[in-house]
Amino acid sequence: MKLLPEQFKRLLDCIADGMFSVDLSWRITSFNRAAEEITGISKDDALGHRCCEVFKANICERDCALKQTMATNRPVINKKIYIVNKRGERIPVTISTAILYDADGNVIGGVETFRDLSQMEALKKELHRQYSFRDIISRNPQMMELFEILPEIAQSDVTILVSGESGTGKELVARAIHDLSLRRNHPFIAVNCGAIPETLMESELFGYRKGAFTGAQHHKPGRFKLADKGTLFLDEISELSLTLQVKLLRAIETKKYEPLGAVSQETADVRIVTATNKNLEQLVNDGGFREDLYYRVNVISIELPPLRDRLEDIPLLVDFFIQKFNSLQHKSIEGISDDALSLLMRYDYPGNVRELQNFVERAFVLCRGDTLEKKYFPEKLHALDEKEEMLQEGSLSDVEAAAIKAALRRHGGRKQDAARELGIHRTTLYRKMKFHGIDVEKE
Amino acid sequence: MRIGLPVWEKRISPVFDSASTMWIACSGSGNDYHWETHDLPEGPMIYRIQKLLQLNIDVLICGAVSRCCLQLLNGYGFQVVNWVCGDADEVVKAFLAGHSLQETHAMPGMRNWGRGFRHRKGRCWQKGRRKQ
Repeated sequence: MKLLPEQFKRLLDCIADGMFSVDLSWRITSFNRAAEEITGISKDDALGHRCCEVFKANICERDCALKQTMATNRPVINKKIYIVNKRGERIPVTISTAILYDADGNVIGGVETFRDLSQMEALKKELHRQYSFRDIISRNPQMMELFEILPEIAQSDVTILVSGESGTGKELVARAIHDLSLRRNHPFIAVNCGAIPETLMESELFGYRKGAFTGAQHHKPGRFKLADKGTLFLDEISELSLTLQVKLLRAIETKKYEPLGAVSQETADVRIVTATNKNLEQLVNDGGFREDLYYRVNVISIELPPLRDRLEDIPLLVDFFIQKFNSLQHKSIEGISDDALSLLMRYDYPGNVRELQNFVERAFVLCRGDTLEKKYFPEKLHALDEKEEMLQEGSLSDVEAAAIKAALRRHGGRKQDAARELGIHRTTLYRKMKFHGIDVEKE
Repeated sequence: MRIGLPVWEKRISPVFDSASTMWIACSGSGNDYHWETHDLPEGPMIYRIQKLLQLNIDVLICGAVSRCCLQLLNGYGFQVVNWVCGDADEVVKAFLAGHSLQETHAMPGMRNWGRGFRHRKGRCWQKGRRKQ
């Protein structure tokens, strides 16, 4: 059954995707109801006008899909772009194009359909909103506040101090700041001030000239030079010697520094981000860190909470690591078992996120199935499990018996070692084992 | 007076956010002007704004501009006449003659939609406020 033009128009008005057609002068010849709704422009206002001035897409000027189709005779399918609607909102859409021919096969124009993705994007954003900022995963309120202010902090050029325990993600935050800043297209150079010997630190930071010292056979740019126009991240800044702290302070304040053996100064156009896992203020009081440098690097201070204070992030982090290791190790682990996750939730994480990552990575290597089970995680986590079981037993006597049994199990029945772990004398252990009727062979 | 217009194929670019070239109509007294042409950087909007600041324009006449970009432009003190389309020369002449571009050169469906802004004989007015 062939549709009449009027019926065809009504059909086009029923579909959820926007659609418009153009003639060879790029003027709109048809505009369906969905196109009106998505763009906010009525059909009467659209017809006869240039499609770019009605559709207002980000690709109109540089990369028009219809032009591409007309030139190559190949349709564009599901290309993701955005348009600006009447209210100034950027609406994400996918577009597809085709050429229109007349009855004689001559090209008479083109047609473009587009699908509004804003609802789907909003749902995705909602799902991920609480979960990640760059590669930093968290839904902890303190971290969420940090995510809110990071873009603003990044846009300014002030010095930043990121503090937090080892493994909390200080370098990730520094990188996020760099990526959000106006320096993002320039280098991000990281220096661990604790890893480089004090005698080499100055030349590492500021570089040296040929002949500056024995063995200096050529010029070597320092990290300041390498980070020119970008960001210099000084990790473990508390490890810098007092002498070097003076030189660093001068470089930050005057934006100039002298490579070793140089006769002239060089300009330091870098943004400084520092990090420490120590209490710098305490170090200043103890005389281990210069007060003037402390105030210079601490213009904006960011404190990252330890993982034990944001245990709610552990499931998210585990999920993130599983996806990461799946792609790195070409595996298809689907998830973690409930009791394994429960185990992870009870640990203290002195090594923070880095330690959790190590646990998951180890489990990945050992895992033979598609789920990370409790047995793939280290012994020290299982000890927590046993402790918890003991605490759930009835009387004090039962708890004591459970502790003795657990210690004997861990040490393969060796009473001397078990006693040492329990903090009691071997003879006391023998006595308690007899009292509780504990048979080593059985355990 | 320096009037900035993002231009594509001699017409106002349809979307300021992704425009690649800025023409600047430099007018003295009267309605005479000459053109300058500048490239606009790609990437984050802040780069674009920085370029506009360097170009020292007094008024920006453009087509569609997203709300977030418009807020940035206003935040940096730019006077913006948006939702304008048409030939760049004609638009500048109409503006210098004191016409309301949102009546004479509005984008389809956008007549009188944007911010009211007219040029009156060497002084810039925005809905009754004079730009100093």
